[in-house]
Amino acid sequence: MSGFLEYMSLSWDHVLELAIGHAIVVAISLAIAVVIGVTLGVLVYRRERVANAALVITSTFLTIPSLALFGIFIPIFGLGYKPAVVALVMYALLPILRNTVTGLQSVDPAVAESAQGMGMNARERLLRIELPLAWPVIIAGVRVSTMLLMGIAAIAAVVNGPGLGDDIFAGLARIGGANAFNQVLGGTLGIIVLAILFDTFFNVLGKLTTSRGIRD
Amino acid sequence: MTDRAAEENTQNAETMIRLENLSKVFPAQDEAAVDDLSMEIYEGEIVVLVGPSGCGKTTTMKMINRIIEPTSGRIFLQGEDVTKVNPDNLRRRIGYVIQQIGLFPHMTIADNIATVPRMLGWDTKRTSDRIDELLETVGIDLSYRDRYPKELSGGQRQRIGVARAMAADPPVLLMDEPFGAIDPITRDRLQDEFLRLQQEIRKTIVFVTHDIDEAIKMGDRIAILKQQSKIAQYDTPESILTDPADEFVQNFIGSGPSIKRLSLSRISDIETADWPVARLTDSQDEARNKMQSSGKGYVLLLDDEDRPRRWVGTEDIKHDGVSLEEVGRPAVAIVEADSNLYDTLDTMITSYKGSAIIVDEGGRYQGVVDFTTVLEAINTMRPHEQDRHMSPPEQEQPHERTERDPQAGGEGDDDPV
Repeated sequence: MSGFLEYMSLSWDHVLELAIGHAIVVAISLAIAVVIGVTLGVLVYRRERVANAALVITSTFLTIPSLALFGIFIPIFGLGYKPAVVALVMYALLPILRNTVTGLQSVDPAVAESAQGMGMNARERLLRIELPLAWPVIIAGVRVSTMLLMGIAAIAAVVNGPGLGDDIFAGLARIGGANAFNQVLGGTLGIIVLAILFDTFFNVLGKLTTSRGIRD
Repeated sequence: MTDRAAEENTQNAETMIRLENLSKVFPAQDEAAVDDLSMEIYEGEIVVLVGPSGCGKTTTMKMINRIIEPTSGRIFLQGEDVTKVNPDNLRRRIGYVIQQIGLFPHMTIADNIATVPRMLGWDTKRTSDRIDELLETVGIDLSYRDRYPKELSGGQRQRIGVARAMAADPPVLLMDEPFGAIDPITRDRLQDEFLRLQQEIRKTIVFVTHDIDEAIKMGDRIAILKQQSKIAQYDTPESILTDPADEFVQNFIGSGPSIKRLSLSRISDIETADWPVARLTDSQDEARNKMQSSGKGYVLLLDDEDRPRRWVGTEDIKHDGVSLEEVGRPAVAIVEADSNLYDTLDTMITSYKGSAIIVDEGGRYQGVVDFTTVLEAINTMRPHEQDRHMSPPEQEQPHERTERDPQAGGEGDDDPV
């Protein structure tokens, strides 16, 4: 234990730098996944068969082992940021898409009908009634994707991607050597701390952006 | 509603809504849900669509604002053919209240009500004033403006639903079983309040219900619909009750149509009797004098505020110096002056000798009504029925009369309690 603390006091700036890189790549991938996922969800939620197809495809992404996916991307996207972000977006899509579809589909039909009966057109209904009501469910999906990406982003080190995975892989490669274990531990703990921070952020964001009328 | 009000309605009536050969066939079904329906709804009247489950009444109503698009036929609103116009614009001219209400849970009460006005571009002040006005009209305290639907009871939500539908002051309101999801006590109260409101605002209302009693209470005219929304009878409640068009309508009205007919008349429609009165503070002798001078066997005792308290009869006067407050029996059968005859009859049954005391809103004595008076009123309502049933029983009547007294009418019926 004391060895680890000593390691951290010497290397904290390095770990911090990697952590920031890790956070950024996750944030960028989440942002892209939210844009694609929510848009897709809005387009398909009324059409059962198309929605199912989209959900099946995005769940398949999750079943591909991330190591393999990153490897497959090397000849296509090269090394570094690009393959990392593409893969992370793919993994983040399912929870966001599924929750967008479920959230929109579970809007109380009486509410949707009374909105229609008052003369709201489809766009107004979507923006002012359905999305705000589906929002808590969508945010829940974003939080799940965040947790997924935190761990998977570590694997991006395999394609020279940014983040704490770099330390984890480096440490694992020389396990037994000086501070090798501490390197792995530092990287892992960094991911956990980031995960908690991101989750708290989305939790608070969710509460702030959800109307008091539908907060439990 | 009362006979007089119904009469006033059908005079000078302009057509607000006209349905012409309206049909709806749903893709998955063989039979049309609505088959070639034509009807006219006049300005300012409440038309109730009532019928058994699945008869297409809700589908018909939803075609008026094209939530369900008709397969064929035309819809006219204020003379304009609206069958093909932009449906969203059409719906902003029509108020819409559904059974589950459908208040927007993520918006405050004020924002809920302001929905259509804002869509129509009303400015903030006009909208805000309108919200206050509507909350007052539907009887919700202004402090509820910033609350959310989940904080309200079912009855309160229903009122807000009505307020929201009326926000932009549309000429027409469509209501689909609006009081269906409410408990019976609140429903009764909401119905009464709604009828009172309609007296002021005089909107054209199309009201769907499966409850014939609600239809009779609320409707200026009732359309009784059979399967595929075919009209069995489309007339005032009074006419339907006294002259059902066929067996279907008769069965649908259910038992006791004549008694139900009574709920449409009020005490103010019939002649009532006056009864000798005395004060609780009078002496027994004074009470007896009143009875003797009027020739009636009973006197009604009132308190200082003119409220009826006790009945005292000749047999109760014992000259024993006991105060009148302990003599006779308490007056229990009391009705308000604006009660309908059905409720009055119900109260009279609880009285000792078949009559009820009429009081005003302050509880002050106005008069007395008895079975005889009500019977006379029924007889004037049903001239046709009297002719129909006159012949066979007439032959037996002289024989029956000596055995049973009450039906004959008026003879020697001096005891009110």
